[in-house]
Amino acid sequence: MSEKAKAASLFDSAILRPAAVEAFGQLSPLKMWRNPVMFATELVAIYVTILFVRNLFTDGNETAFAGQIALWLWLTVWFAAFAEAVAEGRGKAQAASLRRARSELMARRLVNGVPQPPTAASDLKIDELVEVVAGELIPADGEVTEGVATVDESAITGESAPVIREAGGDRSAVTAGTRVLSDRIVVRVTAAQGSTFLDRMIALVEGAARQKTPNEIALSVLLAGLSIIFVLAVVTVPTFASYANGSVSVIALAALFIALIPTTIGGLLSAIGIAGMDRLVRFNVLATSGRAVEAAGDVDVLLLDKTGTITLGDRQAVAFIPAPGTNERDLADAAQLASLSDETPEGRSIVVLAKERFDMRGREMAPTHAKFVPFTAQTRMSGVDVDGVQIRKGAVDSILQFVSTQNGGSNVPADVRRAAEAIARDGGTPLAVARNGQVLGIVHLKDVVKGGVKERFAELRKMGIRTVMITGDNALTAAAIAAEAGVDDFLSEAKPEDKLALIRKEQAEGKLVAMCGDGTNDAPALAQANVGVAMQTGTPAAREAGNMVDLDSDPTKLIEIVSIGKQLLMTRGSLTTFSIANDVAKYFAIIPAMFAVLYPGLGLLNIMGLSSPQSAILSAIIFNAVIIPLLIPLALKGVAWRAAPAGQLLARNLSIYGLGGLIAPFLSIKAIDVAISALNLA
Amino acid sequence: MIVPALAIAGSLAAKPVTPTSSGSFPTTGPLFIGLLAFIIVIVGALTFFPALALGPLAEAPAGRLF
Repeated sequence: MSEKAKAASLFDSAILRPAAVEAFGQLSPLKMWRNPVMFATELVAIYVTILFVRNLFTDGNETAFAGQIALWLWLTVWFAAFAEAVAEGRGKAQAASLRRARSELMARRLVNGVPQPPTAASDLKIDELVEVVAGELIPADGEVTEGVATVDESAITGESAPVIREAGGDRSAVTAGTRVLSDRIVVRVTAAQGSTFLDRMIALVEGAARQKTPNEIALSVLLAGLSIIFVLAVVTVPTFASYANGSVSVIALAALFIALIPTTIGGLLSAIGIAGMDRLVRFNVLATSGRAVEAAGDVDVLLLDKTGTITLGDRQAVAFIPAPGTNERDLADAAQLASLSDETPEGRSIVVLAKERFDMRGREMAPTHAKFVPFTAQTRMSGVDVDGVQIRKGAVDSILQFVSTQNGGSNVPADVRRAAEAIARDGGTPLAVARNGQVLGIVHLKDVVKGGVKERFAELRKMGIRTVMITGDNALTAAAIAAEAGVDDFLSEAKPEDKLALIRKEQAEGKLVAMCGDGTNDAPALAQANVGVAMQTGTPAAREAGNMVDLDSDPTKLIEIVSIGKQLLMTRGSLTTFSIANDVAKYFAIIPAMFAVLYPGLGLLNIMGLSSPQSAILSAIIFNAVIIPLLIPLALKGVAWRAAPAGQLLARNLSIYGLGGLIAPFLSIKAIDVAISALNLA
Repeated sequence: MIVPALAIAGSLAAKPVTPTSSGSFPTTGPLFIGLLAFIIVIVGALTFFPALALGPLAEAPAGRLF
């Protein structure tokens, strides 16, 4: 999704309008008490409202002022509730489209192998067997126990290409609401209705299953602590004032208290958390808890599978190495001819390489009476017979054997063997090519490292995250690929137990580990890792064990997940800094105004030159309220983020949100004050 | 007052040690020193500013400093 589309949906009236209504419901103190700062604000708002009503009847002199302060305090609380409702609304919009997929699923149960008439999917129980044939929707999350089928999972993943689901192996998991396109499968139900993957997903994006994360709790405690300090600072003021034989307006004290407590971050805290989750969902990754998103931001070590994550997964031809007595062009010509009918990725890559190197076009094979000899596990080679010429390519040993049977064991050039060994040493695969019993040379096949991967790892290193490549290859091959991809470390000939042991070892050193996996044998490691991203195509066991599921099954996403987590934590920190830094300007507005009568000399502190004491206090409170909706877009989108060491990022964010938080309110409060006195509000 | 302080110390002592990397916040150097000092000054000032305003600051313009 483009940045522009995101920005547009941020102000979607379909989300804003219901959110505005819902925010009123959130004003109930029973719901508000979960957020101590906003709860305190609400209590003060109630108190000032009572004062205002009393003044209405007793004809007090501060009635209009009290009314306006009460109004803005209520708005502050409402804005905070609105921010949360907007964040939830965005999740709900997403959930609505998911829910459509779930509506009215029908299931045909199999009892003792006999299909039953269709019933509602909601009656299905765990371990029951259902039959699904082409064109039907899969009624429940489950595991294929019989058959193979192509399944359209676009309702869940947004990916239009159908996927294959089959009994046994790592591709047996099916999800409720996806459509079977061909064949027939029997599915064993693994999740009861109400707890299926889709249900959990909907609950999560709607925020229904939301619990405070450790980081949120810590921040809430800090904010509550700061609020308590400010309670003490404010309640002692009348005592000081009475010592100086003066009195202080209660409304001014209430305003001072609200201005001091960190309402900005207090109001936006839950919105930031929901938005972080939402960003992941938009990224087609589902987290089972907000805690997992946060952990992703603190990850120290990334375990990445080699195949599919670091390398493309299939071997590609990168060089032709001719035997003595042949030239490269001749070898390329023979190799190309042998590969033209070979539809494997290796075969195609040879054709591509020949075209790149010598501009050899694909030839029409039909008129040449060519006979394609396909690859078999016995011969371990493939090739063509063209006009009595036999061309073969395959594993070096098989080709050498083939050649020796053809021409009675003529001497194979030692150079060819040496070249093959050198390639194997570098982590490549040598492929020998022979024509009419003569070895022409070697094609160098290589597991090609994905483009841009090296840069990504360099970025991660800058952030202080170590990458470890996991592979089943031998140590030599692994080392060669690790060096090429620029990972920090590798684990070769890795078995699932090795993965688990590596995670335990890193965790024992106090590090947080993230990994992704899809197979059942990955499940223990996924469960042990702090952030375990299971692939949507993976087995149910893997999906249960991880704390995130990637709907696109793209292992490189781990890197984005980490940055979303980091961005979430940084957004919280930045807005907290901003909120506290704002207090300085609010002091300079409210303190001189509060004591203007008692000590006119304090007017010196009125460095903003605010027009009147009441206008000064009102301006500070208005700023305090209005800054919350102004920062909603930032809270939802997150602060700007790039890969850099923590120190650099901190310095940058401090200069923006710390310094900005000091300066911005001075200018804003002055502007509001000018507007207020122009409108004669105070 | 000493009991909560000890409780904080106990909680900190029970935390696992995390190895430093370029991803962790450097606690040496001017950035950390500046930030720590600034936070102490700001939070301290925010707490005592009202009292300060009524006392020394109020008397200063009147020429009654000390």
